[in-house]
Amino acid sequence: MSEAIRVENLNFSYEKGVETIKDISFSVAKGEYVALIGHNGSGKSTLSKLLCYLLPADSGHIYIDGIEVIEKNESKLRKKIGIVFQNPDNQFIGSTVEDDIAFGLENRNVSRDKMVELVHEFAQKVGMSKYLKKSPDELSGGQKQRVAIAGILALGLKIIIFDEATSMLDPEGVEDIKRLIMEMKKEDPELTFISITHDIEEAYISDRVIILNQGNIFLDGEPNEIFKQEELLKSIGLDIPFIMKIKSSLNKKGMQIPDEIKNMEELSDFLCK
Amino acid sequence: MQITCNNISFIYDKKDPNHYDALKDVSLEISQGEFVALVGKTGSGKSTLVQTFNALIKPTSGYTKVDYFYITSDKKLLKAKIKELSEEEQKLNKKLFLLRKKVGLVFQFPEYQLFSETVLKDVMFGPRNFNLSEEEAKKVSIEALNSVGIDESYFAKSPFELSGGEKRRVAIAGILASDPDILVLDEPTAGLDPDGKKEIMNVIKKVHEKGKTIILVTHDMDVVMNYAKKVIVLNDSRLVKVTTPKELFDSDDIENYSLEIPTLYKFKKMLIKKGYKKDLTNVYDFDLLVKVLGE
Repeated sequence: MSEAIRVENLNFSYEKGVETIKDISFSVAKGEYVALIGHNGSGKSTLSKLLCYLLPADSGHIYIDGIEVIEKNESKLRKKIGIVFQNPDNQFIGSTVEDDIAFGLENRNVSRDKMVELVHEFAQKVGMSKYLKKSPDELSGGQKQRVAIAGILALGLKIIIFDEATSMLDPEGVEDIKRLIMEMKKEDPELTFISITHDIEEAYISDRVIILNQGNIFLDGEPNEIFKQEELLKSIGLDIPFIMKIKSSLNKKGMQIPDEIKNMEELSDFLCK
Repeated sequence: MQITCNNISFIYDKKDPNHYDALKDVSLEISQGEFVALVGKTGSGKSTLVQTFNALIKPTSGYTKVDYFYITSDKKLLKAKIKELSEEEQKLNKKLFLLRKKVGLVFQFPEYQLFSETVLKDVMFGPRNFNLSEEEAKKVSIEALNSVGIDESYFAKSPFELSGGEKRRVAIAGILASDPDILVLDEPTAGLDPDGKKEIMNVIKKVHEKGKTIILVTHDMDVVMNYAKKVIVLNDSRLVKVTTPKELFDSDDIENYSLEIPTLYKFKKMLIKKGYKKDLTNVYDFDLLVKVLGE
């Protein structure tokens, strides 16, 4: 089994007659880093909730690491896949930072010693060790978000979804979390990471971009191929990364920027030659 | 309406042995009609600072002054300061609801605070609370909704039927309906797609054009670059810089404060560092950059 996620003909509506997810099929290989992008209302968050069985599908099938996403498998699924949402205030359960990180572990029969160890390890990894005894009302939005992220990462899941999970963080925070995910992926090459994001620059560095539009998969492929389609993306109101934008504008001015130039570093070298 | 912070510090819980200053010796001035961005990394004190502007948080020492309202939990200082006011102002100084009407605070993810059955009722809640009659409240609420681009077809809908961006605009209308002189928004663009972001920022821009003071707390440096006229940088609970977006992003110490440099500036700096042959000093937008590079 090399598939982390398999989705077959998935359908979902919140309201009769308004399809939020329309007959979507795709699969994600173990170890992939997928950026899921699209408008607010394109179905991204709904899809992520369906994957985690926070919403039941109307029809179709989802398999997480080979386990079908249906009610009787719920407890098995909780050990495979986890999600962090964008609003930290809806996710803080514990009365202190350490309680909050420990919450998921408590539900998984982790021994006390191991739990204390994991809480400290992940609090440190997200830069919150100084705040273990603090209550949520003493923390900023970004700090609460770090705690929510630590709580999910400490569980040792194989598939992690970030639903705009870093949108409340400052750039340093975003970098810290990105670095942490990359480290974890290095330690475990099978760790699958799905990032729902509006950050086009982040999507550009992922392994694969899936664009949802009106409940359908609009585009699916490598970032470099996807973001070449400037006009198509514009037609659904999406931007393209800075590097692609400047390359295409300069090419329109009659310069010939080689196709293999993929980042600002390379482009500035080329221009300064 | 002037905002002044005079050497303010704030400690959340003094009894906590590990207590720290969420704000430390911050002094600043913001005049009526300014468009200010307040930036700094997570936990730098931004949200704490703006909450002193309408007395949701009172400085532990020093004072924040908004119009004739003095805000501090230092009782001695407060007494001394209030004595300097006119008799009329002294009386009004205790009425914090008057201050809260003047300073509208839009929190992070304000859409989570919508609660009424309909959009219009939700927006009317504020003005009703400030003692407007049903009829008047309705009138100002409709104006506020129009100003954020929410038309009549939405008024009877439940707020929960709206998209994220629409909900956020309704929440902002709820604050605008009370006609504040100062509008403070904490991360107004977080979690919105590019279109939603543009819509919100256009709404804010229009409010500013009516002469209101805008104070944005944000991590979004594109917003700072494109909209703010003045930037205040907080770092480790202290105010470290008051400047303009251009100067901030061109400066070398920006990275010390963990602020993201907009991609355009990053690229410009990279080119200058590598000795690019043309002068890029005054290149501040994408089209100009393309023009200079493409010639």
